[in-house]
Amino acid sequence: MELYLISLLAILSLVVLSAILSIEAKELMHSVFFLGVFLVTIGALYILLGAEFIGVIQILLYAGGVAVLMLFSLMLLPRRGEKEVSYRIPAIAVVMIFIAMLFLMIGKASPPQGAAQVSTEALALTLLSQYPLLIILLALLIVVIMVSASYLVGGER
Amino acid sequence: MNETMIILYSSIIIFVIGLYGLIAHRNAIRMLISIELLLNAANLNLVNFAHRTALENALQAQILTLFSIALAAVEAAIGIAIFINLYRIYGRAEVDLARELKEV
Repeated sequence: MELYLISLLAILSLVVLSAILSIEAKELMHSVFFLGVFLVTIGALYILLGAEFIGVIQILLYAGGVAVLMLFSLMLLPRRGEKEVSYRIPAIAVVMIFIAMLFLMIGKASPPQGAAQVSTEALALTLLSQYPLLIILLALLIVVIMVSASYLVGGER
Repeated sequence: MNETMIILYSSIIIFVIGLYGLIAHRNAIRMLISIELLLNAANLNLVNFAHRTALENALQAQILTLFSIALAAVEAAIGIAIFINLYRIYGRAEVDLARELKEV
């Protein structure tokens, strides 16, 4: 139990650190790299929380898909100096209001008690027997997005 | 303070970092990174509470997380396609520049 808590805290500190760095890194390329670190550590956290399948999907789809997509598009695009227009003061104000709101709500909440062990087999059975229409809709959506993204990027030719 | 609350608070921290980045930066890629942070904070909460409920709810929460991850990947793909067009038209991907729907 102690080992579990220690590894949880280590992964959580890595998650928060890489999130801050991915927002605040000077180079855009560095922040995409830190986004990759963030996504992989979130996947590790899912596996630690007993959701192995979601952890693997997170690493496959996010770290292997989204982060690599961003990296390649950054490499393909011409490098120009970033004009840093930033709105730090309104951002800090909104964040403060948001934190106050959240802590007002969390003060009333009590932590849930219980434990569920979700096996991948049960997850697959539920997904494929109860939500087949959603999977078909998602597949249709992905096809539409693929066609429209390739049209948007290469539409001039 | 048990593990559920620790993860709840740290997902709040991630969400707040993403919110700050989304408002503070005008670069489109950085805004997309912030949106990914927001979505991951929400997903982390779903998985966290799925760990601590009855089996039926846990299954549904994990399925919702799967669909959320898939939709986030799709959203990143279409966002990057739009930003490449922004680079082509304006030379920079700042969202403040995109004020016209037609090409300039």
